[in-house]
Amino acid sequence: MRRSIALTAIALAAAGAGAPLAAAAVEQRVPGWPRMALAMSGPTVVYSTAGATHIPANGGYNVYRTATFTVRMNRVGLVKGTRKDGVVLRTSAGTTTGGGLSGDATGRYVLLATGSGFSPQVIFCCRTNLKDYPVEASGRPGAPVTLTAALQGPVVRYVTAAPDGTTQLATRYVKDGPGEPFTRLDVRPLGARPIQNLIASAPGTVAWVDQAAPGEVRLAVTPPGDPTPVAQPAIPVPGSVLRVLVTERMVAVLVQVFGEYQLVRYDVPEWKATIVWRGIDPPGPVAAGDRTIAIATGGVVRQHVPGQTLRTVFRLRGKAAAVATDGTRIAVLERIRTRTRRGLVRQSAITVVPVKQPPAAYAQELAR
Amino acid sequence: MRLRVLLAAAALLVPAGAAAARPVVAIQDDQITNDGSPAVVAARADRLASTGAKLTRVNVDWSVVAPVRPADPSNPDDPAYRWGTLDGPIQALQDRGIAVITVMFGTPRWATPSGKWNATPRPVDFGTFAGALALRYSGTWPKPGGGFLPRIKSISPGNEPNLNFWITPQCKRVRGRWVPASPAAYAAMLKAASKRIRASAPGILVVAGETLAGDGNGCTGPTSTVGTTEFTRLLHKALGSTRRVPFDAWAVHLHPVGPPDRSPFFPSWPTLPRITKQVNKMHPKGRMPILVTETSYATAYSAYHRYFVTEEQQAKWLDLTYSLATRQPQVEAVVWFNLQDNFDWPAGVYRDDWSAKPSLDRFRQLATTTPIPQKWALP
Repeated sequence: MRRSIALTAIALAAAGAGAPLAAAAVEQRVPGWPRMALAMSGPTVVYSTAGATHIPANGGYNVYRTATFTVRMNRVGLVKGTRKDGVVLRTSAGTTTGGGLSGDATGRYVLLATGSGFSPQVIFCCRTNLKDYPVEASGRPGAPVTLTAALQGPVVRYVTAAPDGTTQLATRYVKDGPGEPFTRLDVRPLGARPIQNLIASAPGTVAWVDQAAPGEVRLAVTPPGDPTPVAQPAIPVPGSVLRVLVTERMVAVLVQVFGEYQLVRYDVPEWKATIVWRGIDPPGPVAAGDRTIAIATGGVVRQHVPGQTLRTVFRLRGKAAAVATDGTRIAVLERIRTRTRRGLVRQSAITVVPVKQPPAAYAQELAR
Repeated sequence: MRLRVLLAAAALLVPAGAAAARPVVAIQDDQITNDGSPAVVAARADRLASTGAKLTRVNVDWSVVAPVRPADPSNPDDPAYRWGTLDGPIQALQDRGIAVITVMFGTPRWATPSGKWNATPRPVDFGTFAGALALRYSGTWPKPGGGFLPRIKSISPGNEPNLNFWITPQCKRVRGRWVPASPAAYAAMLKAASKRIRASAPGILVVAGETLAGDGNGCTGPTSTVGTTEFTRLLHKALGSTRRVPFDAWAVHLHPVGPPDRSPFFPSWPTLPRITKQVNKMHPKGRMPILVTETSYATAYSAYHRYFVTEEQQAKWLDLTYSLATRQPQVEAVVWFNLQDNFDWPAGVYRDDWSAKPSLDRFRQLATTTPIPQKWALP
């Protein structure tokens, strides 16, 4: 603990001097470059890794897995030695991916486990009596496929698409206290036909680009305690959408406008457009949390908060595989090579850095 | 380790002709006792009957049947007993030609100081309830309205007693070291239950074990899992040299990770002979009947197993499971767990919406073509 505080102090000093932060920050290393996902939830960073174990007995076979882990954070970085195991999914159905992770302010999270040979499995972590629990886990051919999932207070909300393209918003109650049965499920039509992969959700909000209107982002909000999605006015976007991100207070899209890529954000309540980044080549990973955007591009990770231009917060040593932000901190997953006695080995490194000096108004919001 | 796996695999290659008989093809509906309404029970029993199975396993949750302490616990008609969740299902199953084996679990609040559902009960209370259960379903207990209540084939006094989920504590601290506690506790429960069952209904078989889980790192705290091999060895020691072994058959649970013929993890089909060899030591003729009272492949994720396969793999591996069981001559019955998917165990031959998985056809074909010996059939 004392060591982590010392390292953090070094990191802060480095930040003030404008030097790279990565060298001093506490890292979580993962062997190899497995398929992974990254998110933040309350006081923790959540990450998943995918892999396969070959069982050599009697001709051999593979068991594929996706596992999640959490690492605690303090205000400015990871806390050393705090990694905990979470969900462990194992299957012989087919290879797995890191899936999708979505957290909230409590430290709980939802894993949308994906892979070949099986329908996406929505797994909530964690109940008090069990570490994890499946929220939607149909293996049936033709079963609705879950597209996105997020926590909202005591419920998991997830969007499913049936084979005929119709979508529904499902609300599964996850509280396991007295009088609140875990398995209660409400399903409501969403009225969306999203273009593949162009749908995202955050606590209380779903955003998507509809096949019927590719030039706009559609929004539906779900007030707490109400399973019915309420449609919001659509947001026109300037080009062909490649990626949708959403938080409770912001929508962001990566678009291609003629020969250029643009990352554009729209903030509540006016949904006024702000171009965050533009470039000729597509950027690396992008993430949104609260009112902060993190974007990896050109060997660095940059932040964007309301009222500021892009600022560099992290210099990459390798290639960024994922970023995540909760509004006050940014997590970076990068693929690196480390020199060891056995030569260069591949590792994945997760680092957390604080968001730099937000403007006064936003700083007040964060302090609240 | 590799040699052991090879030997186990070799045991599986015993020619089919060497088997004494094909094991009974059975299936369990773990939800049939969860809804007391006659319509739901009848519908679930119909579904179970539609699989062709003639033997099933029924859960007996002691804490549900006896939520308050009966004044006369040995009398099944004591007004404190709530048999409603059992009478209906067992009768409905018998009406459809399906014999029933049972498994007991769930400690009532009144039966233990901690009030925990999984707490080790006082053997005398546990045994008395087992006796009442045996008496009620002995085939001789009058049914309200005339006739007699059905007869069950067997009682397992305890489910997965080597797991903390079902029995706690698993381990205790002795002179600074954590050592297994559950084998001795279970031995006391088993002896008490066996005595009362045999006295109440001599025809009902007592089945011991119902163990799950491999041999891990041993006791490190009160909730550690006691590995199957260690549990069995210590149970044997705790039972001591009794004139009559307090059970008639041994039950194991096999939920393999990987194909049934290749999974080297313990317990699994290739490693079953290790368990058989050990429990044979407790049989006077060295040949203990074995029941696989739970085996499955889930087709979706669940927090209890965390391993799943495709529906096509499930069907194929169900076939292979029963084929392998045929080659294990001491295995008398294999119960597929379970009938219908639910969040806790999505390994049904039916999906949660009652549509059929490919495994249903395979199961039905096996169940309808496998003869059931009198020992496990309805009278």
